[in-house]
Amino acid sequence: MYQYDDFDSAYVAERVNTFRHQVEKRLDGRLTEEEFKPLRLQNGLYLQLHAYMLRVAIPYGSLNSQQMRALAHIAERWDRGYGHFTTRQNIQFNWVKLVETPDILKALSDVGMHAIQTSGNCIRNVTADHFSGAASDEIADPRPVAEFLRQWSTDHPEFLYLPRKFKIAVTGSSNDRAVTKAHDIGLRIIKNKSDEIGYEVIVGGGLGRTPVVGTVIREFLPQVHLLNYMEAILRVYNAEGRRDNKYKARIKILVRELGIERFRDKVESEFERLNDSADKLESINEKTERERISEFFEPPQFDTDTDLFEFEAARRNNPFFREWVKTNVHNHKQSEHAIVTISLKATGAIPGDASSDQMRAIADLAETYGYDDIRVSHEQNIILPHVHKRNLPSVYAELRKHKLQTANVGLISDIIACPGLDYCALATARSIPIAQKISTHFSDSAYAKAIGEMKIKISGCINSCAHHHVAHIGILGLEKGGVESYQITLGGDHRENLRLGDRAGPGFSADEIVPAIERLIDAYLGLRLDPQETFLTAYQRVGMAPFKAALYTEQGPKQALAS
Amino acid sequence: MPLFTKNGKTDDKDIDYVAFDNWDQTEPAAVDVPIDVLPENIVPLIANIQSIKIEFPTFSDGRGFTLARSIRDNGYTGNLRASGHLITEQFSQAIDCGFDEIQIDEQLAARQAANDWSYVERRTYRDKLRSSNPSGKFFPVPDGVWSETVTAVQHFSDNLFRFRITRPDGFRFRSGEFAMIGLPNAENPVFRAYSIASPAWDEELEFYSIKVPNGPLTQFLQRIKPGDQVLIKRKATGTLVNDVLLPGSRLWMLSTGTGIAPFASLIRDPETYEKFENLYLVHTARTHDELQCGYDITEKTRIDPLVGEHAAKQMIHYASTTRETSKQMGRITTLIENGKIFSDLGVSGLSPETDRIMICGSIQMIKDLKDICIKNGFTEGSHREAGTFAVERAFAG
Repeated sequence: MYQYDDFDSAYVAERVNTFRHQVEKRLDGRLTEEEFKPLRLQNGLYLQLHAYMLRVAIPYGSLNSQQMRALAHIAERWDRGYGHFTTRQNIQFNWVKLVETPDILKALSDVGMHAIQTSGNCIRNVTADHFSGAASDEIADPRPVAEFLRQWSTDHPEFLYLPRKFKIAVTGSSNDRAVTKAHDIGLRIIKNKSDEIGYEVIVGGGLGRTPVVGTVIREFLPQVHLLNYMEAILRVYNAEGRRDNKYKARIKILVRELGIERFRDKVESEFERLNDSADKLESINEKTERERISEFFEPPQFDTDTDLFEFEAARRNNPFFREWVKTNVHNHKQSEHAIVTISLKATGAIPGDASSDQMRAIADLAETYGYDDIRVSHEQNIILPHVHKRNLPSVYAELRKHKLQTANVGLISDIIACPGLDYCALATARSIPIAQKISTHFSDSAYAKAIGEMKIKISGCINSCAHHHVAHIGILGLEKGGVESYQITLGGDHRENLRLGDRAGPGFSADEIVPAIERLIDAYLGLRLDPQETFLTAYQRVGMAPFKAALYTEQGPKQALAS
Repeated sequence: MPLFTKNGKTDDKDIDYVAFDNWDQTEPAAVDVPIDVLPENIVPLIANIQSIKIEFPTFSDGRGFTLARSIRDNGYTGNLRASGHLITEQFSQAIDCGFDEIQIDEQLAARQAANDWSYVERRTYRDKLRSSNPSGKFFPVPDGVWSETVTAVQHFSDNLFRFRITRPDGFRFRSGEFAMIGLPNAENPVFRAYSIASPAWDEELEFYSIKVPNGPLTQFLQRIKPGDQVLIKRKATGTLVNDVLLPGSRLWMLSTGTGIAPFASLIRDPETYEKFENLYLVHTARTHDELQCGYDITEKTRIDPLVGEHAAKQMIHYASTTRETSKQMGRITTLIENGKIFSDLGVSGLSPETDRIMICGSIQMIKDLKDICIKNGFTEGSHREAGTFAVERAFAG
């Protein structure tokens, strides 16, 4: 993985010093809260409902054991012994003190990490496929591109005060695990007819209160033009994006108001101008720095031992292990290796939360069995991308000791949830307790397995941090006359053919939501053609009507609220 | 109202800005540009603007940064001021976007002390992506080599640029010689021969360079900018110096591409004008862009305080393109063989009695011209024995 060079280290260390100074200036009044706000946001510091929250970037979701241990240490020393992994490959510490944040940032910079631009109206942490470098369907590793973009976007003098936040995601596989079509810019690494690598550039996607599926703006962009093209898009957005209404300030609204054709014309002519200008980032340079970065992402020296006896024996003899392999282990490009997903969704747990002990256990496993490589997924789980199958039984045994063995990846209890009203100042409803109720209700693993693949995502407000629009069953918590009300959407799909879910109808109260889900599941089990037909495919076949009937005929939401 | 530049607080200048909307766009003026003007609406007008002020209604409105960079990218070189609500933390970024100065109101100035408004000299990620040494790793300067600072860079075209560096104390050379140039980007850096384009008396050293996409040196060298370090070996050498030629009345300096460099040095050396009555600087290149360095240097030489008077009277610049259509086309060899160059200039053909010739350019061009010289009775000069023509062999470009 990428190692900071002298420049990166010096830069991040200097940022810590600067922020320390800014905190002093805030405290002595040289900076007003209004002026301090964008500065602390550019350093990842939010003011939440009860306390400051620090959001730390895990660039493209990649970290090593030393960095994971540093996160564990920070959680213990400056927070309450746990951290929350988010849907954008960040980790949040929910209970930090303003005056201590410079020390936390220092501890991060010591291990090559930072919280730079994890919030604020700037280019945020660039995310990537969490199986990168390991997936068997990969065209090219997206991490070098993501690191390249991290460097370009960090402290970019022109783009620190954009109309609104700006998110970029990269995938290197045809199976999109990075939700590229729901980002301000999505990049898909592709090959053209002459077998050259380049990017399909998608622009103007996003969820939030106005969900939009991104549009392709450039079908094939040669690698060397990446930065100038990004610069052109951002320039048009910064100059013309709306600033009069923060809910209409994202690039998706600009693209929609101009129309993709006019937006593209503007970007292309800016791109041309930039390519002629003296200040362009010379294409030749990009190649050089990109190549330098790429060297850090060379695959590890894989253990080529083909003896899988222990693995096969454990799979035969231990039904729990067998079940875990089935749900939590994926194919690796090296057939004797596997990709392990560690579920942070134990029954009744808070999705994405990990304790310091758990983080250390994961760090140890990565160091011992996983080539020191760890990933964080947007589905709020942790990945060990390279584990030799021979070691899977040992990994599983170790995970059990730390309650990390839950075999539910991709199943109904593998729920994505935002922090909701329990932490977030923007939330209108609680989402964590709903996730806990659903996961407890469906904790019977035989039942969950029978239901099969299921993505439930719960957002506590219309900002949609949990991506509920693209869930098979999406749940949106709103507030209606002082009471929490949960709206259900069905049939969303977060993969390469991104599809937004359809709204089922009026919302349900917090108490009514689990029975409502139960009715949906019963309806699905009753109408599916065979056990191979997933909820999503069944929905695509039969449409909303039978599910709507199941949701509302038996016991309407009005009665539910009254009871 | 307080005004800050990169160098600190400064007195308010008396600039009379006209509001963008009231400006008739034909009269050159200092213009006050509201932040909601789109770059595409101001960029076509920059040639007619003497000074620009961009108003920031609030510091969080970043449109001004895109406006500034767009204006600069498109060649605006006049004064550029940011005015209104900006905070000290944005100062360096504003300068990096191309602003010269920032004006704030008294109230803000009272809260944010003058010494908080200081530009932080620093390498940014942009510099890193552009840098010839992206890792920022430090390599020791090898023995027998000086590390000098780049003072100016000018790009003529996609494959030609010139740069100037500080001159090391004690670096001696004769006008027309070359030096070995490298970059501090490796344990054993790559060095290439570069003719010194500046005269022996200049305080700085100037070089012309091509840009080769995968060239071991030029792929990095083309990205240097002022402040970067360039390595130069301590010894200069070369055959295109005055001593290698016998005295004569006409000196022909024949060059292709960046081969003009040693002559750019010689035409600025007073000795050349003492030794020869007439100088003919002949420069050919594929495209007009690539000839620009020749036009620039002759123009500069004609107004040079030291040699300008001589140059205006004694030096003729003759340029032609070989690929791009232009008024004057053709290879030097062709122009000599068919006599066109002589009829164009209204002078007689080459003769070993009166003429001296220096040749610098592509390998093929050197070979062909050398054949012509020998055929016409010229003898090659060297450091041991002066002759009637001279060739630079170290040149490869």
